[in-house]
Amino acid sequence: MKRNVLLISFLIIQIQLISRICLAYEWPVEKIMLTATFGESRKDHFHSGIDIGGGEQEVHPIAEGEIVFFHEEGEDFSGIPTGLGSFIVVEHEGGIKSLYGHLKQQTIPVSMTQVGIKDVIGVIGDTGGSYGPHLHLEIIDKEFGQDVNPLLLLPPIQDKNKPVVRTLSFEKDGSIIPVTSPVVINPGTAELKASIFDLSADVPFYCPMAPFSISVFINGETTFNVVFEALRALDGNIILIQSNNLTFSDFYESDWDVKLGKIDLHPGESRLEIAVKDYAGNTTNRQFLIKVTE
Amino acid sequence: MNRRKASIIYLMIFLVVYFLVFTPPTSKELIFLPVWAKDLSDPSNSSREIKELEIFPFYSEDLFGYISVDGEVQYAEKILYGVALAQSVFANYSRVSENIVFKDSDGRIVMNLETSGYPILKNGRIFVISTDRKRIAEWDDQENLLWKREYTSHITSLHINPNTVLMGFLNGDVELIDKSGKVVLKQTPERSRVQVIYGCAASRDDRMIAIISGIDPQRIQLIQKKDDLYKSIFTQILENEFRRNVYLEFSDNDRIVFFEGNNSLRYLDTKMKTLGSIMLKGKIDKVAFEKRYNLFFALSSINRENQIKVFKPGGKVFFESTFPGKAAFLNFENDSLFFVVDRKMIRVDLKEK
Repeated sequence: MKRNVLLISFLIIQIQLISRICLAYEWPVEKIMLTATFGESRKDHFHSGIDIGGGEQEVHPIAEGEIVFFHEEGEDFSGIPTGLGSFIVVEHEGGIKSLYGHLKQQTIPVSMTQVGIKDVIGVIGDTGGSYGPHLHLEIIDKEFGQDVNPLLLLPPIQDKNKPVVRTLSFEKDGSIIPVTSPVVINPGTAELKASIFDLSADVPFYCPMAPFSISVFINGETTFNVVFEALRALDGNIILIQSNNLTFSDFYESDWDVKLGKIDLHPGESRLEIAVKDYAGNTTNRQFLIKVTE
Repeated sequence: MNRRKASIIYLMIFLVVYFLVFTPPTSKELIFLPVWAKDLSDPSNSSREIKELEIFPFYSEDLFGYISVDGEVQYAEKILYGVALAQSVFANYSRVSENIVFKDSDGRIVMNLETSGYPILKNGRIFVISTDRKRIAEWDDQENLLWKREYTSHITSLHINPNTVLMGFLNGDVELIDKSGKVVLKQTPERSRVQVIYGCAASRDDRMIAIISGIDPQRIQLIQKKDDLYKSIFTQILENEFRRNVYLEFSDNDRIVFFEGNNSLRYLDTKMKTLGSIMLKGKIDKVAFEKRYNLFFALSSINRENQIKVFKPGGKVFFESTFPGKAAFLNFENDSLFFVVDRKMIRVDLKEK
């Protein structure tokens, strides 16, 4: 009996330790309302973080760390305009930095240096270039020089909404050919385009967001793959890693219209499949028959 | 007499008495002579055509525009969210917008850039920085994009010269970019436990770069170009550890580097490699240089109280004064000092007794 109690206690301690390692980061606010995801279009660049709504609530660091930089809107020391408003940067173990933007003015604890996860480092506000109160959260991995999708590191949140593939079309020789099943098309090279988004599970209104990954297959072979995992700079341009070094203009045509690569169409029948996954693992699969005829 | 006129008159009387009583003991027996004070709260645009050379840009708490040395406002507008202001062109921008409109000093539209971001006008150059401070682009006055660069690290400090752009980053790097957008220097200053750039500035000839970086320790470092290479020529560990941007600027003749210390304005003589300090309360707003009499004017503020100190290179303080209000602007035009407090602009001339 005594041995069983000891064994159970040991197992409980091990599980707690493992949980701490795997889930080292916590959500920075109590009420989590995801309103924008990593990699979304921001007109001319990728969104390099996530946006969290939920009204005016206290913001905590995602893990213990050290305040290494802050900027208070209205107190300009740099002469550089910023749309992040009042923001704060915390550095964590391993050189990971987290940034919290659009904070309410005068809520940053400017005299604090070391912070724990229970400390308040600001209040959600709408300072800077913001349409309404929300927290902009970024996670920066200095060692690899990357902006990392925070949803990969934060505890998972419930979401049962599947991503939406609203439209799918080929652009060929200046014409747009909607993809239906079957789609009849001439041979040649065509660019596949789509209107794709995910819907937030947290908000009661229509709030499209970027999905987590998009893959295209022709007859089972991958022709296109994008994963919103991390962004890094390459030769002065920001690219999506693990996605064939796609830049913003390589991928986005407009907010939700994306380019999914060029496909060589040879006479005969082919199977086109598109798989879109969101951060919670919900997947939308669509399959189409392509008939390529002269 | 209405209240506004009365307050201007009282302010002028106060200044006359104050400046005459507290004549700074410079070697040339200079006096500060108040010339005029203008309430900018409700400026009426002047109908007289003012030559461009006579006017200069100004800004107050929520207002900006162009004013002549005689106090005639050529143009004024309320600041939307921020304003990029140059001698003959400005861009008044809102928090969120899809385009940037540039106007001349008469308020006529001269250019429209269809891009998001915020404009910066400096040394005759036009830049747009993204709202998240991760992208910077230069444009010409024909709306052509000259170059752009994107980063994963935020730009924490920026200095623009006629031929270069110097940037400091959250990841601790410093980058110097030439006029074509090419990186000519990329460096990480001496390592500290925390690597962040808190301030950077370049001399006008781009031969020297000053950087304040790091925590534990925080340092000021001077880098000089020798034989096409930039080498460190001076490093000093600082007693303060600012975790925000700090004021850092070369003097007009590039001899002195001014930077913020704890309740002080510090200066580094780049030739002698010596450091000095002047006590100055609060945030350093501006250091202006008066050429004829070789005087520096430093303006600082904390909690709606401002301090102005007049000193010579070497640190000898000739005059200091504190005054309430929101001081927003300090500038020299020839021998006239112009500063704005609580939307009132005051001109003070320096004259030999």
